[in-house]
Amino acid sequence: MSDTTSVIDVRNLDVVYHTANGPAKALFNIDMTISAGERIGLVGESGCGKSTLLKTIMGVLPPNGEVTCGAIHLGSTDLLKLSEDARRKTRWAEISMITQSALNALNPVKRIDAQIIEAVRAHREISKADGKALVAKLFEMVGVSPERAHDYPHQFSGGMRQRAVIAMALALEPKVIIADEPTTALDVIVQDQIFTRLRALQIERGFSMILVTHDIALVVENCGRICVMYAGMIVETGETHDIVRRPRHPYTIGLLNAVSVLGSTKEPIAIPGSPPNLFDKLEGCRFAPRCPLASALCHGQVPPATPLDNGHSVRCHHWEQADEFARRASDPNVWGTAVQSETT
Amino acid sequence: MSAFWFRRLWQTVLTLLTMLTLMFFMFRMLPGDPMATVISPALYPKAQETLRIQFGLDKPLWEQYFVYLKNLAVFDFGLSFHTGRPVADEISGRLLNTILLVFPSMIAAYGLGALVGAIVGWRRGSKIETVLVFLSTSLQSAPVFWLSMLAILFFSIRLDLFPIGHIVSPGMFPEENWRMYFSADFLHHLALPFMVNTLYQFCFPFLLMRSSILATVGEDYIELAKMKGLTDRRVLYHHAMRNSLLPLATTLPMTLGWAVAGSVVIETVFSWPGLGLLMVEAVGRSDYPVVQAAFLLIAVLTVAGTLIADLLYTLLDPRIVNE
Amino acid sequence: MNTLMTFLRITWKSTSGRISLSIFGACLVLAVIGPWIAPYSPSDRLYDDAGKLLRLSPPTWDNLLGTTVLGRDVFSQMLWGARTAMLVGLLTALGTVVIGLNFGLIAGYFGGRIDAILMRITDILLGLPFLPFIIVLLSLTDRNIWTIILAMTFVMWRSTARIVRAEVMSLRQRQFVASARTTGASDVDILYREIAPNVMPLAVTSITFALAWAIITEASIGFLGFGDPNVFSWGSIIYDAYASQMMYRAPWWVVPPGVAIMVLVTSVYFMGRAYEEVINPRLQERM
Ligand SMILES: Nc1ncnc2c1ncn2[C@@H]1O[C@H](COP(=O)(O)OP(=O)(O)O)[C@@H](O)[C@H]1O
Ligand SMILES: [Mg+2]
Repeated sequence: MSDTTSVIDVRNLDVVYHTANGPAKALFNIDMTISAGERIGLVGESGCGKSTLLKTIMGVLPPNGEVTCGAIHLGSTDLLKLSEDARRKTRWAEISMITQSALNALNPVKRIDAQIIEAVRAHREISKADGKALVAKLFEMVGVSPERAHDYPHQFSGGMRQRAVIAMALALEPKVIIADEPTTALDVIVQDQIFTRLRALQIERGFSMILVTHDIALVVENCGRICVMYAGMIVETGETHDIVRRPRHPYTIGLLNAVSVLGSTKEPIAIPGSPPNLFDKLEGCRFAPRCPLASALCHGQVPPATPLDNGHSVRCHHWEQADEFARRASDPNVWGTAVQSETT
Repeated sequence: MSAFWFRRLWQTVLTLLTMLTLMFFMFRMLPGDPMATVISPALYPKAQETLRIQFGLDKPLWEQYFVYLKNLAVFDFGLSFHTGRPVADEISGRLLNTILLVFPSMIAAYGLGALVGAIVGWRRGSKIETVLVFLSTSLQSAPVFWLSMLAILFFSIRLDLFPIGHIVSPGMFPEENWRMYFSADFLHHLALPFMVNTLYQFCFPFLLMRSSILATVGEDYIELAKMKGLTDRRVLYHHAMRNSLLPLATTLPMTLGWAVAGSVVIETVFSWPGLGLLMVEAVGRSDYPVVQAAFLLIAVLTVAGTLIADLLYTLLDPRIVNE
Repeated sequence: MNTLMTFLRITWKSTSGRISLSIFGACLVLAVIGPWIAPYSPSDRLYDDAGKLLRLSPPTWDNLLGTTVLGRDVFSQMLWGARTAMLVGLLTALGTVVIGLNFGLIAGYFGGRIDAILMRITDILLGLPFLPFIIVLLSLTDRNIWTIILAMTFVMWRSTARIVRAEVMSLRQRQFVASARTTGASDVDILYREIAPNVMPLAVTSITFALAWAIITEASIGFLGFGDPNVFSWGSIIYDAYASQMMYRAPWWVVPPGVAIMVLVTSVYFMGRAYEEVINPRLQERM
């Protein structure tokens, strides 16, 4: 079962946030494998738990977040079983992260080179000269003039700050780099430049990369494999071309529909309704209330992860109807029915 | 940058000048004989006349104003009604005494308050946090003179650990020279007012640091610092606290100025011969030249505090420099 | 009036808010009815059955908090003191906020020269040593409670003005102001109908600060001996004890007024905090 080339292996992970209104089940039954040297995309609407999953992997959940079950294997060690100090040592050295808002991720009152060297020093000794040389090298790699390394974050433009964070993420040559919506705050041109650079670096350095975004088009362009998340669950995963060509989950179909990746001239259709409230009981398939295919079974029973060919896997009771549904899905009225039937 | 400082300095001068002017008119315009606030009514008429000419009080108001400014520029505040000596002599030692009482305890209070506030804010939700927040709010709400009296009641009278007031034991230093400040006796007298003031001043930086750390904890750069694999302590001291020090540093000098102003009260309780006590005593004796001089000196300290605040802020926050 | 009701409703939501509101309310009631329920006149000299002056009597059933060196009833003085504290505190806070709010609104809304001048004034007031200034002022004028209130208000409005101004400057950019302007509303209308309601929460928070400050400052003035000689205040009770040099033998004389100030001011601070936590969701989240 366990693949020799897998770097990170998440098994059966559940996370809850304890809040004043009771526990919110943010992640449910997450399985996810990242292989060496691959680029994998994690997509889902805002609030579906993408950042929560990444924070759990990094071990920086906020104090009210709790892992209630599951394992996260890095190689052969279960990160969740490590002592706090041992865990700390794996951070950044093994897995680093380009955060959602790199604009605010740099400490405004510290120089950028100092912040990069600080990350290195947390894991190994490095002389002043070596540190400086390393920062220069990293800056060249991400395409910022090394002379600017001694600046403060506020002296950088948004794109440059994002590059500085990428440089920082590369500093310890980790096995995995996670990019959490790395370009949401940037304009399209800069966004393109950054992705081109990231892809090139990934191919050159051979690290694995998890690209997280709510924009499925970006993932399709940049990643070999896709995980689709909905309300704290991974509902479908597989090779990108399989998923684009033959999506099996109605939600994935809806997402693809919404952006019309296939270059068609159709009007993009948004999926009506909104994700469930995580405080609710949530029995059965979490997508059922918005799903045109939903049946009594869907409302009563969580669909198991069904393995298909080529590593493709889907959590839907009615995945066999997917092809037929995909043909109808471009009609907005098809989506409307589900929401209406739910409210009545 | 230099333009900023030029403007800032100019503002300070303007503030001081306005304050001097305000004083000038307040002392001359308010009900009663205006002369009585400048020249002691107790002097012989002849002597009064001489002084009147010396201080230009026979001249029109605006001319008096310039004489007043000129005199201030050379630290000539006139003669004390009470002792007949130049006010500048009366006041010089008092300034040092106030500074020695206020500054060390403020620095101790800020250091301690920042540290405890940071730790408590970082480990939020603890029992200690609730207790400390409640205690320091209550402490802050109590009048400091009353706290001082309780401290005297307990430590000096019940336990007999400290003297009841004054800066040195009577008769120890009849000359009142600098040697006094290096004696154990002086430190013994300083100890209790120092502790009370430190405790009282502790509350503000403590509460400020705590809430500022609480606001910092959710920041993205704190999360990144954790993800970089830094130890918890390093994240606290080098990132969270470093950034939260900023609002604190900016308030320190200003509160330093306020503490000097507030020392009036604590000096009175401890009979500490500083500027504040001098001012209160002088008001009691209607010794207006001394009142005025003491007040102006306190005002200069307060304004200087604000100026230093800005200076510190610029040093600590790199974002300011380029603006 | 509306703002007051909202304040009460919001503060009442949290436990600490309820406790502090109750304490404050109790003090307010005592301040109003205190002089009627006081067992003696605060300046009466009391004699025992043998006709001897009741000097420094410890607390008894007749004198709940004992007597002073002049044989006066401390408990009655405390009740009169509550009235002074509340009167001075509330009037100063009100004056501070009314002046500070208007100056802040005008400076923030019109900007430019008006703003520059008003801000310079607050700069100067900010540099003014608070307590010494009031003492000097009181030394030159009549020492009465109204002068004290005026002097404190004169200095204290500066902070409110600055806070309100900063908020108004950011509100001015908002959509609702722009749309009000396109409908042809006058500046005064926009300022007092559109913007002012939005800065009310800030004004309320600064009222609580001003209230707390005014109560403490009035006590300090009383303690330094510059209080109104015709009025009993908690500060002046402590001053009398201090000046008599007997306070160390009569804790019942010194402790109660200090505790009263502390409890009242603490309740004011917590009231403000409880209100702010609801108003400012970021604060609430942290708790
Ligand atoms: N600290 C927290 N406490 C309570 N709920 C949280 C917390 N952080 C996130 N959540 C909730 O968990 C869900 C997932 O959030 P997140 O992982 O940030 O989503 P995404 O990154 O996909 O936008 C959201 O509904 C969010 O409101
Ligand atoms: Mg996210």
